[in-house]
Amino acid sequence: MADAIDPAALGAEEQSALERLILTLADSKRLMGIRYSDWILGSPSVETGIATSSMTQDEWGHARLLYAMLKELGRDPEPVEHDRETSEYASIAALDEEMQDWAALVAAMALADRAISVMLESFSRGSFEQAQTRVPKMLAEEEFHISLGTAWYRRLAGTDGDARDLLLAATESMLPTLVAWVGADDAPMQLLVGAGVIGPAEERLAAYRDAIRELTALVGVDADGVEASDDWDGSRGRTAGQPSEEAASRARGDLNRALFVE
Amino acid sequence: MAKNPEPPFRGAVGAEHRGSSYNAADRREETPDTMPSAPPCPFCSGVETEIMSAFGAHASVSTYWCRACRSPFELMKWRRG
Repeated sequence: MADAIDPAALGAEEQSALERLILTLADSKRLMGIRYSDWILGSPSVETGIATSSMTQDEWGHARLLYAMLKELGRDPEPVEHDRETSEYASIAALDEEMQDWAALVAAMALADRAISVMLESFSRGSFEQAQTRVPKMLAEEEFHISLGTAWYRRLAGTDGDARDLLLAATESMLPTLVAWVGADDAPMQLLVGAGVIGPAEERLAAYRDAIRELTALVGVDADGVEASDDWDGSRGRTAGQPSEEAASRARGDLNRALFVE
Repeated sequence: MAKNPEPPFRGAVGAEHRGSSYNAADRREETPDTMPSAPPCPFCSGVETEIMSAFGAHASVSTYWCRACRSPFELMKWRRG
């Protein structure tokens, strides 16, 4: 683990880059939770419904921990969580729209949730103390998501017919933007790598490809051959697009504003 | 809306298990190895137990089933020692 840095002592550009990283991780966690919650009812079994409910709680808990890290940069997380426009969300593109079928949710679990964990693992080994101390608990909870996602991915990939085809389609749709995100190497990311906050792009991308290679091969996708999409949006640290308005409204808590207690 | 005549996930858990409420082998496959396979039942102390769901009614537990006394019970996902 790297020696901890003092975030207040970072330069303005480095602070801005760290804020962008925290936001993209926190927003992705929040959207991941929404995508799991979409399947609490309607998933293939009672057990998977319980699992998506539990994973929703995990993801939103992780999001809250991540948003709170913004305090280290002198920013109040409350308006960040509840007052931003949809176009400001920095969550990964794979979670922008509701998953249209169970196979797509399984792909999101195995590939998108895994991508977030790869980024968090690298973040936790870096020099930002809050990541060193808070992220390991998230990764311990994510072990359960990985196990469930892996088992279901194998199960659906082993069928012949619609389930496998849908899994393949979701995999091919998600991977280019996930590879772009995990392997991001623009100026802000390079600043963070230089400050020891997160590992180098090639290291992160190699870890991600290692994590998913065996799985995606089951549907005939070579993880090493997937190229990053070319629509990077450096202002938010994600690829082009934005979450659906409905999802962003849920993320902000638009319907519950009168009930906020903090 | 036309009803899908072939729901794509029907049977995805294996035709041999269709009709049963759950399948222990599938659930084991979905659970990290850090969770025990057959912890003692807190009600009858029997060890004829199996994982029922890696997830539980709240975030910190997994759910098990005791085949001896036919009781579900929960186990903390993270324990010291």
